[in-house]
Amino acid sequence: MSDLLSTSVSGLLAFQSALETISNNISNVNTPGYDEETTNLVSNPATTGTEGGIGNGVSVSGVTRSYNQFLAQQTNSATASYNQLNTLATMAAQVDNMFSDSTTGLSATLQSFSSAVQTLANSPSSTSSRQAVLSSLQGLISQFQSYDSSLSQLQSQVNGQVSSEASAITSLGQQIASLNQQITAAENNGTGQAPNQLLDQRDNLINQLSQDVGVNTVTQSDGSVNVFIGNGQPLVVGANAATVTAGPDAFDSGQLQLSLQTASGNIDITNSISGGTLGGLLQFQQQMLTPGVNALGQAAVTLTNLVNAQNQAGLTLSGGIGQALLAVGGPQVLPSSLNTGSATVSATISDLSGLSTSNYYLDYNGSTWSLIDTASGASSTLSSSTNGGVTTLSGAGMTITVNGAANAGDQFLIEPTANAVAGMSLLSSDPTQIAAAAPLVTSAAASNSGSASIEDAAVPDTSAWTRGDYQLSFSSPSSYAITDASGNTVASGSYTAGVPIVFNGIELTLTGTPAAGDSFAIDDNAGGVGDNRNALLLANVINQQVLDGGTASLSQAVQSYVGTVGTQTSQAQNGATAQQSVLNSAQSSEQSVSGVNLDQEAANMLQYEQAYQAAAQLIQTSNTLFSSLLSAVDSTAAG
Amino acid sequence: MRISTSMMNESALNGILQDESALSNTQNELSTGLSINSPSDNPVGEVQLLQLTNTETQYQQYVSNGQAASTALNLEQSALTSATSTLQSIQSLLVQANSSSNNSSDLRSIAAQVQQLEQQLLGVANSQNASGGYLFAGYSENTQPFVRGSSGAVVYMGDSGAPSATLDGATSVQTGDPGSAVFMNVPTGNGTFTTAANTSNSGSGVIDAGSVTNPSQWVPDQYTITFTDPTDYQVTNSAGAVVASGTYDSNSGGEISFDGVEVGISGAPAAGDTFTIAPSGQQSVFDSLDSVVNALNSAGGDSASSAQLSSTLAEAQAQLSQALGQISTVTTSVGSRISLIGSINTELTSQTTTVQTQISDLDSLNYAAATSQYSEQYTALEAAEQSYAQLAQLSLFKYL
Repeated sequence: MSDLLSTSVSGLLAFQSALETISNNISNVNTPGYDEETTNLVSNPATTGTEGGIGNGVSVSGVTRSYNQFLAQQTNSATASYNQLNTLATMAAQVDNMFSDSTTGLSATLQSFSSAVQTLANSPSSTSSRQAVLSSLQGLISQFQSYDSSLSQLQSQVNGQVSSEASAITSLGQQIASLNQQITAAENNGTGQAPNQLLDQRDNLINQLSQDVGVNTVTQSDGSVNVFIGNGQPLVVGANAATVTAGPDAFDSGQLQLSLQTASGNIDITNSISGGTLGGLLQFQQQMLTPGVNALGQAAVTLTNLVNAQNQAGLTLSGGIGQALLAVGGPQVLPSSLNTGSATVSATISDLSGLSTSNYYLDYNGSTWSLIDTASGASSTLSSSTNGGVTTLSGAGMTITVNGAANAGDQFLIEPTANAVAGMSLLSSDPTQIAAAAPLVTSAAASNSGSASIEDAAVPDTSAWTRGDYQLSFSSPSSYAITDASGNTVASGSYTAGVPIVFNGIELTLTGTPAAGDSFAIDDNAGGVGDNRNALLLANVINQQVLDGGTASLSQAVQSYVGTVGTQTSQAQNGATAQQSVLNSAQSSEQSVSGVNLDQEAANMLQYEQAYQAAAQLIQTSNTLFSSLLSAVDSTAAG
Repeated sequence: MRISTSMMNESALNGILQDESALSNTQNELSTGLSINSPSDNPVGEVQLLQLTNTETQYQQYVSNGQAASTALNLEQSALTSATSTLQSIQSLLVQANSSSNNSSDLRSIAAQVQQLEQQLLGVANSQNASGGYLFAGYSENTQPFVRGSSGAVVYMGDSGAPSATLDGATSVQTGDPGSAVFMNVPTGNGTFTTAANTSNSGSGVIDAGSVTNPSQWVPDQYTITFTDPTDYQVTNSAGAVVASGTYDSNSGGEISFDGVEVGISGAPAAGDTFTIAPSGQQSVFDSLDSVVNALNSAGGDSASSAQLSSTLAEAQAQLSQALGQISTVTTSVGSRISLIGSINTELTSQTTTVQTQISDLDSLNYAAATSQYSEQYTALEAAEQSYAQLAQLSLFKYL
């Protein structure tokens, strides 16, 4: 009889616990990281007696949470991938938007520079059309600098976010380590009960960490979880957490270096981080930002070199030799703070066709130098010569000069074009300084009887040109003499058809056959204000195939850069969309195991409510039984 | 699969957010009317678009280059027309001068008129464009090209430059001609040789400008026609060798032929009179006019000097024809350049239309497709919202 009562009471208690768990599930239906919990009921063992094994009711063996480690890890990994691609797509869209208008972009502005020069060529002596060319150059510079400053603002934004990500990761690592400690203590306190709430919290923190950076977790036998980031660098080991710091790199290049400060020392993890917002930021910096700044710089250097070279090849409105019109920032060389040698390195751009949009490490191994692309790790061909303690290296479109002694292991970061745009300026505001005229004007004497004519009279290098009026005379079809304005012979020789006549910096190419007595005037074109020959060449510099080994023009390079930005952005956006579905599906799978379903809880609640009512009814029954027995005893005594 | 309550809300919400984002993109396309709103919308198309936009700009620049060239060439053509009519007036004055009825004062008055017209021609040769540049100075357009030097002769101060304009990717056209190629360097005489009567001739023989009958037989040299008596002549070359001789008969035309050329002598040469024939050189049109003016001013009254003047005038007429021919060649060339510009610009206009069509094909929105996409997306969003609102109402707890 007392068994009936105690058995019923055990049921009441157990169902009450179960209802409490259900109530907890319902309360936590919106709690992030909460895993549905189930009350585990076991039947109490039977009292061995003559009747055989009648059970002794029910008891609660514990509360377990519905958790699947595999699904949780899958969700974490999908979270890290999604956040990386989503960050990349968001950042890329900002670059993409910079180039949204195809009619006002750099490509169109370059073309309008060419148009302005062609208009100048239509009236070479017009000051207003010369002024328009200077204005269009100034417009180009402003546009280059506006793009460059937008990109450097993005770089500051990236640096700011990387720093805050570093502290967020550090803080999450510390919280996980502290939970590890509490969980280990709780699991080993002898009750044998899992600390479900602490476990939920820790899993939730690890999922939050996955949003910031890709992680790997390993569960230890004492219940603690070790967390690794990057290529297996330990962020949390048991109760100890490492600190992630973002500080200037060894070259102080303006990009941050991420270090993991562990008990055993500092580890540079900048290049090993992947996944999460941090991974996305670093990928954006490496794939779009740095190459973008360099591509703009490459275009700026190319424009400057071509415009200056063409202007220097002609004569200005006042008849002087043209000067450089544009200035541009040179390559930046940054020594590593770890260098032990005394070498100083400088670099200049020497070959546009070899110039790339990469940055390079210049490494010294004790005997030879090598030039390594910082992004791809590919080694560039480097030719080297040493003269009087100065080593001159040529590679990647640059001439690199090393002064002083380097030690093995010394390293320099070379950014060929990163500073180019910042250093851009217009060197002259004087419209007459545009060299529209070619240096020479030639004519054949009216009395010439041979068939020869001057096909081209060029001054390949105006700085080597001795200006003046010259006369070329043939004393026979195969021998010539050059006299200057005072009649002095400055050059003479034998003429071979097809071989240019070179003197005083002038190169004459003739066609046809001269006759004895023929003469040609080769005059300084100082007064040639109506000459537009150099202007026509200047208008075409944007179409000269000088880049990428002579296969791309400036115009094409700018267009293909915009195309690259578009492709990278659209890839990132498509990747983020795809990864979103992967993440949704991983979350659904995990939630299908761990999530709370209110309908299910309602059904369970009904089930336990009914069971509770039945057990309560049994107590009533037990009471009735006992009363019946009592009344039977009473009637016997009275009888 | 079991779905947790929070997942059900979240995935419904995610779906609605995605639909809204797609709808917003389509709405943006509809409002800009462009299918490429940033490079990522169509990276390959964007690069083509940039190229085509530049091509369009370049075509417009080519058209404007052609218009500028056309303006310059039209100006040059009108200057050349005016030079031609001035030279033609001089030619008729010279015909008037070549008449025995003129006395020396008539001739001087004609000389004054010729001089006046020469001055007018010099003005044309020094024509300037709207911005003050000299048309016929070559590259040195700020330098007055034709000035009278200290010797009194007109000298050319310009250069041999000829600026050009780019009309399209493959064609450029000369937008001017240096004055040296227009007014200077005119071949003297008839273009092959010059004729002259010796100033000490005593007869009334007049030599004309002559002509070439067989160019392959012509040997350029200095020839002298000497009359051994009024009816017999011989032709000697510079070495003194006799290349031809014959009987002179002024009634049968007085033609003397040798070495593929033919000169006519009229009048009555006296014994010992000589005429010279020399290969053509080159002379400016102004020098030719100066010498005509000189000859007219210094003409004497006797028959010998009248014959002398006639020979000079015949020679001068031949030289003016050469000058007119040279100017006419340049005028024709200018005209054909103007028509070339016209036809290229017409071609460019049609090419520009093609490029604009290509640009529009690339970046203009297909409104029919976008509108239908918009209504599909709108319907999807509406359905998602309605179904979510209904689903959210479902709960077993309501029935407890």
